[in-house]
Amino acid sequence: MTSSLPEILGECLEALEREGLTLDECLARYPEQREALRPLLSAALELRRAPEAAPSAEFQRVARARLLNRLPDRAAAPRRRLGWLALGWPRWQRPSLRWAASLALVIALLGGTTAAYASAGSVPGDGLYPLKRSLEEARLALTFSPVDKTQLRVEFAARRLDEAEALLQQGQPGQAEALLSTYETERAWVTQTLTDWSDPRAQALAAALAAHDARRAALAGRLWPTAIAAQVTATASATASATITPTPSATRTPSPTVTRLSSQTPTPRAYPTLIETPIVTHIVAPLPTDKVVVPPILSRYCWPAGVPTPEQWPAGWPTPDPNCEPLPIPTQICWPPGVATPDPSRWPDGVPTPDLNCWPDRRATRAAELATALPTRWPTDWPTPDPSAWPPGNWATARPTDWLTPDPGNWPTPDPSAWPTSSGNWATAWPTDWPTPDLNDRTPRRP
Amino acid sequence: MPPRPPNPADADLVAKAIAGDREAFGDLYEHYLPAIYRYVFYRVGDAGEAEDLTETVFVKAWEALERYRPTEAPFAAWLYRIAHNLVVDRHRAQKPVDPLDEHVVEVRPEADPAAQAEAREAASALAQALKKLEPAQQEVLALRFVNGLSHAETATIMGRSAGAVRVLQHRALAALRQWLKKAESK
Repeated sequence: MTSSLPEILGECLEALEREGLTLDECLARYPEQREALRPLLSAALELRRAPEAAPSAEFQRVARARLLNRLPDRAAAPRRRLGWLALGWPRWQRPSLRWAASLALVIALLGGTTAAYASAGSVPGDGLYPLKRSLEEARLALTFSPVDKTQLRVEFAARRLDEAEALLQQGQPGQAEALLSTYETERAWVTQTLTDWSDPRAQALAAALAAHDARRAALAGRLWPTAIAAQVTATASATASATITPTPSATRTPSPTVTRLSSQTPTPRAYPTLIETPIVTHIVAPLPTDKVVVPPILSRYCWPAGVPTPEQWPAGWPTPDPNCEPLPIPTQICWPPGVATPDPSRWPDGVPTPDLNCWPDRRATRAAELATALPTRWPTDWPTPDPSAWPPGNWATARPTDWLTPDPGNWPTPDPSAWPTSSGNWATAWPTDWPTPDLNDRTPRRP
Repeated sequence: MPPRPPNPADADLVAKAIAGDREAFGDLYEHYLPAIYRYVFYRVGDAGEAEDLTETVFVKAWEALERYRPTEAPFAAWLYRIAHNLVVDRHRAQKPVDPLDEHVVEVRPEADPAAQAEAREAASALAQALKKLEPAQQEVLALRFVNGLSHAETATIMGRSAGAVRVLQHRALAALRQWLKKAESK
């Protein structure tokens, strides 16, 4: 039987690799293909002799610590609850897709349509969510056309975005971030599949994926720390110093100053103006990068007064304080990409508008970043302020001047008709570190 | 470059990592870092980018560990697959990097300066030639010859048959040869 040139080339390369033959010895085995094989084998050998590229010594020195600091907490990942259905198993230990397909059939036969329908709107943490994901797996298992299968994957990837959006609205950014990560994994597989295709439907799927990518980018923009995870500066190298300025160029960029205090001073909180909306209305200034690793003892975040603030402040960060020390209005404000800028109508005259193009290039600060070996992610175990530990009497003095002072005499009476009737979800938007409101007690008080 | 032998404790480490053991995952990282870095470096041609992407490969792997099925693919193959997807994404999302220069190629430090300079030049020429090839051709050559994987291992990672990998390898070497000849004649 005559072998094709690719096969002969493969055999010859394997002989070089396994038997230790020389190039000429290998060519002698295939005299007819000798001339065709020689340049190909030479190129292969040249590649094999390629210098052994290795990460820089600095990178290797801190690699493990850097990685471990970047790893998200998987404890925050969605947990599955329907243990008896075996859905709580780690996925790789779970029964096969054939089993999942059988499950889908059983559910269908036993009138499980209602459950399937009910699970459609579920999100991680809901009891029906594992069912939703299992049904997706079952549909994939029962789909044999590669095109249809990829179409399903695109559809399911979009569902992860729906879920991430829902979780963001519920104030669960950690789980939303995990879903975006799942989306990216699915997306990577789909794009790889599409590159191998000539099917006309591939174009439509690529277009659908592009639309989903836009949604994903918008969601990532709302997830503060991850949206700028790649934009890391290293000016925080002086970890021991009391003041850390997280922008690399003090002359170009305003310097939100992080002040480390020696004790667990709590973060000042806003008074709610309405009991249903205990949301801070003003926070301050150009954002720091997530490279500014603030140790847990830090609890104040100083910011230039007069600089408008982003609309969304990352959960878990100390509330910025424009009153802790005077900071001048900067001449240029470099705004991190991916973080929504404040409403232009709030932007005062005389303050430079945010510049999205001047955020420092990571490369420029890379060496210092590696040398400091600081974690690249905001600590997930950021301590929640304990209201009972707040200093008596003076904690409100650091409150921003533009926050409203509540007047108990004008405290609004909650409108019972506007109160959510369902007991299922109204409490989820309540800050986790605030006491659960007592609906029967309308006496004004600090939250 | 012969492939690094599989770590006999891999299965144990992987199981621990799946269960959430960060230190076990750190051990896996240290074991596979050189191989994944090498693969990524010869795909992107930039040391800084390669370090970033390599780290990201492992972050993605950590996030997706619960979905990893040891029975379907070896852990190394799974990592290469993630690395490949990230490289593809990176090529789609970014402009090409500047040509390699002596400042971005890190070679083994034990070599003398002259040998290091020569090695850098050779690595640059090869990486530049590789970058001219189609993505699948780049991948097959990087896996087969830079990382020293077998036809079967390469086939597993690329999701193709061993025969398809041989055909792709043949075309890729022929294309590489053309680019190297072109570079030599300049």
